[in-house]
Amino acid sequence: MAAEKSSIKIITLIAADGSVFEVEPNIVKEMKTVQSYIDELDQNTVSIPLPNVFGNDLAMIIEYCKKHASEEETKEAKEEFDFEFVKRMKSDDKLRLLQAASYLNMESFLQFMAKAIAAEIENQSVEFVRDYFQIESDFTPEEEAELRKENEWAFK
Amino acid sequence: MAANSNSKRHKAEEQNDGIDRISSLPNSLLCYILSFLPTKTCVSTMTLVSRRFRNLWKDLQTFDFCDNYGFEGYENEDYDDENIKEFMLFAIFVNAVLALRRSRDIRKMSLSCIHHQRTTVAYSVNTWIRTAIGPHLEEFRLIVCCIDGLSFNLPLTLLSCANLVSLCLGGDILFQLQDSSGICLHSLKVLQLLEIHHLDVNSVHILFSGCPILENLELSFFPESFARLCVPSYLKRLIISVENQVEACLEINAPGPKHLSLTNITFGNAVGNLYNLEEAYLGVDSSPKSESVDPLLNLLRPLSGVKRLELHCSTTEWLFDAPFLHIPEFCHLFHLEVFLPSFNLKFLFDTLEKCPMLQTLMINHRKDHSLVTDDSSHSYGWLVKPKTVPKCLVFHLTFIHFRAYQGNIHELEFTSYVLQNGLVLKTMLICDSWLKQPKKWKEIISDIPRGSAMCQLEFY
Repeated sequence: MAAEKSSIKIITLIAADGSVFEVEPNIVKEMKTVQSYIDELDQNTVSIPLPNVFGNDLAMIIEYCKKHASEEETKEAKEEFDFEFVKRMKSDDKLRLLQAASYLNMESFLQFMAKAIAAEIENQSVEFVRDYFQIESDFTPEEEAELRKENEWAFK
Repeated sequence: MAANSNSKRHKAEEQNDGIDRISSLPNSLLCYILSFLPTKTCVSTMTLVSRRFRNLWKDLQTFDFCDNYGFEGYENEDYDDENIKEFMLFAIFVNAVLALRRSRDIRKMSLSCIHHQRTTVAYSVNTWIRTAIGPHLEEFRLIVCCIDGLSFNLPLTLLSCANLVSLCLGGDILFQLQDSSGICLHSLKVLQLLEIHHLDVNSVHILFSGCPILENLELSFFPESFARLCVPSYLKRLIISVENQVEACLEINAPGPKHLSLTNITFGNAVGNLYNLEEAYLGVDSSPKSESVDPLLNLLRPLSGVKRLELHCSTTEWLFDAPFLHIPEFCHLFHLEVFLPSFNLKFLFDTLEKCPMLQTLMINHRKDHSLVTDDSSHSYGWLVKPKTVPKCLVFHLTFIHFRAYQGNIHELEFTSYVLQNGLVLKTMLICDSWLKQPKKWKEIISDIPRGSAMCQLEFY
């Protein structure tokens, strides 16, 4: 499972808050940002600073990667894991992990997070979405009425 | 690995508080989230959230339109003026979205709606599809329900989208192909043809010929007469289901797929050894009722290298008649799930004999509660108690899940046998919801001596 091109055995990831994670190369395979860093180097150990990802988020991402990189785990076990993984998170955890996934350039994890967020806001009210993203409406009542009228075709 | 992570986690949590991440969420990520929502939500809900959200949807390249018409159990007569009015509103919505979007490229489109030739908006569906057709289209999904009993004619230029990766067509869609000249699906990996009512098998073959790298095929159809289906040999995943009682047969050449699922279909003669196959699901039966079990055995032989196998009720029932010696050995199988029409001790035991590497066994019953009986009239024991213990019980079988335990003497005999002879058994799960006296059964089964010291018995 080790990366064929180089002889790197352990990769050290340093999160924004200074917490350190030591992982095997196959765990970071999906993190294209990290991978491109590794590919440029040719040494036994590598430590990579990740200033845009916090330690507890990185811990969760690594947990996810470990589960999904494992060849022993069945498809069902992975699905079950995904379900529980999302269930225990609050909305801002998900948004933070989405950003981390985007920064680390992790295609499938990014999609997984975006789908989880979309599933939560689907069929919800405007107020729910505002709460979810923690934003205040910056429309005046008149503007909102105007917008509703302008897009009347969308509200039928 | 990650030795320091736990101690640092708390520290990180403290530092994380109070940071406004949402305002820093870039539009590209917000748009990405929207791309997984129905277009209706993106337009009607999201525009009202804030100024920043107001025009986000206009940059979407992914559209998901659904007219909310119930596809399940509709009757033609139900279609009235109200439905037409609703479809008109839906058509206005789709037209407005497609006209007002800023990005002109469509990467994904999903459209599921009704279609009616005689309405004033009969051309709408066709027009929308044509809007999506182009070099940027990667995913396309169309489910059409024709309430006038006619079929929707698929615009065949769709089949010239060279970058299309995933195509799903379902419902009353008609496509008839004379030759493969117009088909250029060089990127297509996933093809789903779902419950298409008037599927022309010849056209499907022509379609396959234009898909050189197809990996994943799912096909469910209603053949009008005997159908002989020939699928490309380079598929990795194949799911085929015949939705009526008309006989259909499948031809596939080696090396064949990794995943195979067949419902109501028989194999043709041209079956090579499917030596890449890892997972198989079989829901085939002898229809019309044939005397011989040979067709099923012919189907099982090429599958003998599978790692996971699921046998549905009809298949299991058919297999009950097979002579033991003719059933192939599944020497790589580690996960087996069987659905039993009635409890059959001999069959289960024979199966264990034929699966020397088995680790997980799931036993299910037909979902029909009316068949549940206390007595053993619906179950089968063995005529002579076997002398040797199946190899899998001695070396590999660690998990048995018995769903819908009905409480008859043969089930008990089986349970006793595996508990006593399963030397590596770790878990035996029994669902007791169908039992009339679950407590009594629990006691009886718990008292059975166990061959494995670590075996856990659980009821639920």
